[in-house]
Formats: sequence, structure tokens, C-alpha cells
Amino acid sequence: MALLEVENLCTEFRTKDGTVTAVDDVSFTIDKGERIGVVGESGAGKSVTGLSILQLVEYPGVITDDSSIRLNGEDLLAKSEDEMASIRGNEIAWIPQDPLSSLNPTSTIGEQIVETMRIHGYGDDENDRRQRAISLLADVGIPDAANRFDDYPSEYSGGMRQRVLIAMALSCEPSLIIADEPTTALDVSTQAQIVNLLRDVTSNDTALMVITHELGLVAELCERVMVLYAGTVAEKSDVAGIFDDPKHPYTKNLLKCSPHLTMGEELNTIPGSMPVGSERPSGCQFHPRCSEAMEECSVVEPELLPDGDGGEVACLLHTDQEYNMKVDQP
Amino acid sequence: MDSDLRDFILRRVVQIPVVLFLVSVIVFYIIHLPEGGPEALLSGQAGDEAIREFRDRYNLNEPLYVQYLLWIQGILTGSLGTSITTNQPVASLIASRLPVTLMLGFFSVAISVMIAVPAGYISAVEQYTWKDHTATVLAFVGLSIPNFFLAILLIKLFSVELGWLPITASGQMFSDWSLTLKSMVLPSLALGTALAAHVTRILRSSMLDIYSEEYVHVARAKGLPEKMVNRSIVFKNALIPVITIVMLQMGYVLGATVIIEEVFAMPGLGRLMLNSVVGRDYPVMQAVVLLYATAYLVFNLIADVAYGLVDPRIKYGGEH
Ligand SMILES: Nc1ncnc2c1ncn2[C@@H]1O[C@H](COP(=O)(O)OP(=O)(O)O)[C@@H](O)[C@H]1O
Ligand code: SF4
Ligand SMILES: [Mg+2]
Repeated sequence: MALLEVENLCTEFRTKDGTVTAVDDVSFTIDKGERIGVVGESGAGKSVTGLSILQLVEYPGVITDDSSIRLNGEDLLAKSEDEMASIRGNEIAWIPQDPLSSLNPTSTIGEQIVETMRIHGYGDDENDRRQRAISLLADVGIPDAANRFDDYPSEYSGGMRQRVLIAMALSCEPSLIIADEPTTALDVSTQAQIVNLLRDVTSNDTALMVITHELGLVAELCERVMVLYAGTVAEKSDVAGIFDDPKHPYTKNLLKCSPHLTMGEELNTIPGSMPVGSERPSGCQFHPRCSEAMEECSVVEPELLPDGDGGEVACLLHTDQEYNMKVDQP
Repeated sequence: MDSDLRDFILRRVVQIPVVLFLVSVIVFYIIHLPEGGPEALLSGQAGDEAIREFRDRYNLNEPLYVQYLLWIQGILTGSLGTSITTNQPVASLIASRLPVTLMLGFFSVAISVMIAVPAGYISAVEQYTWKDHTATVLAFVGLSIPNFFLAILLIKLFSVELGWLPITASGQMFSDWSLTLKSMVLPSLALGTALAAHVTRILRSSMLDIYSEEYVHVARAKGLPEKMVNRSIVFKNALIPVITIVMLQMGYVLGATVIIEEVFAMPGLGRLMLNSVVGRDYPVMQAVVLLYATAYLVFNLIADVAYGLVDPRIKYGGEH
């Protein structure tokens, strides 16, 4: 059994101007200790997918009734708010995108880590938690951790605060860590250090879901990739497959747009823009921007099907005749 | 206390005398401006001889700047002069009136905090529920009713109709303590509710701002139950602006005490100032106005320092 099983996840924002489907029928699994990358342009639904797992989608977002999210076989969507709170930070931890704004400015670094353990009843007593917090800070590379335990976040640099957030995520030994663009806000040399750190700390049984718009980060960190486009899964593959033999035209575009895979560049260089909001194209969501689009692409919505190489792809170029036949009989 | 903070406080403390100097010049000038000068008080009842004596006694024949310097010299040597109407030393007049105003100020702020903290908190946590709407309406009512009018309503209800509370302790202030405290209730309510209305709104909007901060989201993601998010994260961070504004509001409280003391016939500083204006008792007037200005400056200083003590992000080193 997989650690996390997400099935038919739909998350909608029911706004005044209509319903925005941010995540549209997304299914995937994460195994114990596995590292998976979720990639796509800004607005693709990556963060909302991660937040849906934690059930922290902000108002007016709702996870539809047909969705299913199971952790170790247990239905998370059936849990009460209190039960979910005891899972967050404890079994599923979250590493946010912007370290500068993600720590409580009026609480010390040490207290914020200890507090996480305290609310989940981790550790024997306060002293035990304190010792663990200090050793975690040392593990993530905070020099002189014992003395900097009582510092306030404002006394830490951005890179150090991201390390603190990683230490906080690790504090209760979660089985899954969801990291939302964990390096985007950092400078290039710090990015490399944080990537190495994330790889180190998840080298045991901890699974990692990395949300990013940089395929380079995925190449360095992950075993598997899921490409999202406009809330739908475009392609799933192992990392080698994505780079050596990308199937979906969108994935190919993404690759072309990140020449320095280790640096990671802005991906917004694919011509056109992704549909956002409640206006969605018919057929394949990508067809207005797809250089390989065929006539039927604007009519038929491609299904996510096995690509023959162990992955899955949602593109009419990679499926059998059925679709074409459907189109041929108007 | 770190050295940055100490430097900051020192800088601000040094500014205070400069501001006070300007205030003293302005106060002095305004008082000596009117035609006839301070001795206009005497004309009518007093003969020429009396007026001459009066002018001598208060140095009114000296040039204005000499009079000013004599006044400042007096303040610096601990003498605030003598009241014209009562012949008492101004310093002892102030000393006898100060406790009443301090008590009124203290109780008003205490009442406002007791009302505003729960009301603002509930308004923010349960935004747009009937509780929030009720608090909002009451706050606007509280803000729009003038203090003196509320004071009169309170007197009518609790003193005249119900007879629960005295309007004033009259001559027994500080001799009959039970009466003194009872007599503080209505004035403190009249003043405190308006302040409470203000603080409620500030706490509410301050908390609502904090809810959209990323660290609140992170606190939820690490499993903090919503109650703790509200209390230990949102409320605590929202207090920073609230404390500052309450301190700045102390200036407003000072001003409002003048009216409230008058309505409730309380022997406080505000009433002393008002009477000195009416009676053209300029030594008293000058001293009390200067005292109010000093108090105002000190409260502002406390507001700034408190802001920094509660919020470790504030660095005092830089220029403001
Ligand atoms: N609070 C919100 N209200 C309405 N729509 C939202 C909200 N948050 C996200 N969305 C929608 O969800 C889509 C996906 O958002 P998100 O998951 O944050 O994208 P990303 O892939 O960049 O992380 C956005 O394009 C937007 O249309
Ligand atoms: S289905 Fe058509 S439009 Fe969509 S990605 Fe494939 S080829 Fe392009
Ligand atoms: Mg995002």
C-alpha cells in the first residue's frame, strides 16, 4: 500500500465570478520514502494540490465530494478538523515558499520548533524537546545552534530561516513532507545548499513532495515527476523518462525553457498563457499553445493513459485510434 | 535592554525639552497676547493702586521676554508661581488635583481594555457573524456619541433614576474612599467606553490583517489548533499596533478628562485648567498646559518604546 493515495482530487474555488477549478481530477500516489516532484507553471494548481492534502485550502476553496485522499489507507477527508490538526506537522509536514514571512516574528526560533513537538506530544518533556530542537538546528546547518536557539526570526537570514522551517518540518518525524517552492525565494548558492539538505533529510523513510516550477530542482531531488497543466495531470513519469523522453508537448516545452537545469529559470517563456479562472478551453487544455495540436485537440479531452514506458500521459498524440474515430463522426 | 534601544530612548528623551521649549513659548505668548494683559482680571473691582501692585507682583511691567525668562527660571528652580485667584502655590494646587485625574485616566483605560480586548477578539475570530456585527454597531455608537452626552445619560440613569451611584464625591474625595471609588465609576465609564469603541475596532482590523500573514498559515500547517492560532499567534501579533495606539490615545484621554471632570464636578487637573482659563489665572494656566504637553510627549515616547519591546523586528538603530 502506498503511503499517500490521492484519487480524483478536485478542488474548486466558488467565487462570486463563478467556479474556478484549480485542481481537476488529479490522481497520484506517493510511496514511503519516495521523492516526487510536482511541476508546472504558476497557477497550474500545484500549491492547491499540496494544501488539499493538508485540508488547508483557503476560503472559498472546497474539495469536492468525489475526491479521495488516503494516508496509510485512512481516509483523510473523513477526519474531523481536530484529527486533521493532529496529522499536520506530525505525519504530514509543510515547508512554505517564502521563509522571510513564514516564521512568527514575535516568537523565538527555538520556541517555534519546540511548540510543534509540544502540540503533538512529541518528546518526554520540555528539556527533551529543547535538546532535540537544538540538535535539529545543528543538523540543518545552523552554526552555534544552542546559542541561537533563543534568537528571533529577524536575526536569521532568509537561507537560515528556510533551514529552520525544514528543521520544524522534521521535528515530529513526519512520513511525508510537502515542500512548496522551497528554493524559489533564495539566492542561487543558498538554493543549492537547501536542495542538498532536503535530499539528506529525506534519505531515510521520509517521503517528499516537491512543488516547483523548476524542472532542475526535480532533476536533482526527485525520483518521479507529475506535470500539472491548468489543474490537470499532463504527464507522470520517472525522472529519467521526463528528461530523456518527454511525451507531452507541454513537458517538452518546459524542458526547452529550462536550459540550465541546475539553476532553474523562469518558465513563462512558452508562448501564450495557461488558462486561469473559470474560462477554460474545450478539448485539451493545452491546445491553444500546443505546436503539435491537431484538429481534434480542441474537441476531445485527452485521458491520462499509460505511455508504454511505465509512465502516463494525457495527449492525443500518444493514444490509440478511439479518439480519432470519435471525432470523425460529428 | 540592547544598546540600540537605549540610544533610541536617549535620543527621544533629548527631543522632549526641545518640544517643551516651543510649547512653553507658544503658551506664554498666547496668554499674554490679549488686550489688557493678565491684569484685565482685576479691572472693575480694583483701583489703580491695586492694579499697579498686581503688575509689580507678577512682573507685568517687564518686557515680555523677561517675563518669559522669569517664568522659565521659576520652573527650573521648582517654583511654578502663585495662583492669582487663590493665592496658593501653583505646585501644590497641581499636586492636590493630579491624583483625581490619574485615577480617572487609569480607570477609563482599564475599562476600555476590559471591554475592547474580548470584543475586538470575538469580532475578528468570528468575523461577519452576529457577534461581530453587534460589536461593530456598538463600537460605532460609542464612537459617535460625544463623551459629555454619554456622561449625562449615565448620570440620568444610574444616579437620578436608579440611585445606584453618586454623581460626584464633592468635598469628600479621598477622605471617604468608598464614596471616592463609587464616584469614579460613571466618569470612567463615560470616558472608557468611547476609548473601548476605538480599541475594539483597532484590535479587530489588526487581527484580521495578521490572519493573512504567511506565518499564520504555517502555524496551521504544523498542526496548531485554531484556538491556539487565534490566541498565541494572531492576537499576540495584533497587540503591537494596539498597544501603540492605546498609548497615543492617552493624549485624547487627557483632553477628554477636562470635559468629564467638569460634568462630574471632579477636583482634577482638567477642571483646574478650565477654571484657570475662565478666571484668567495665567500662572496656573501656563503650568497646567505645560504639564499636559509633557504628559502627551511622555505617552508618545512610551508608545514608541513599547512598540519596539513587543516587536523584536523593530530596530532602533536606523534613522526614522
Ligand atoms: N483564493 C483563491 N481564490 C480563487 N482562486 C484561487 C485561489 N487560490 C488559488 N486559486 C486558483 O487556483 C489556481 C491554482 O493555484 P495554485 O495552486 O496556487 O497554483 P501554483 O501551481 O502556482 O501553485 C490559480 O490559478 C487560481 O485560479
Ligand atoms: S492533446 Fe493535442 S493539443 Fe493537447 S498536448 Fe496533445 S497534441 Fe497538444
Ligand atoms: Mg504555488
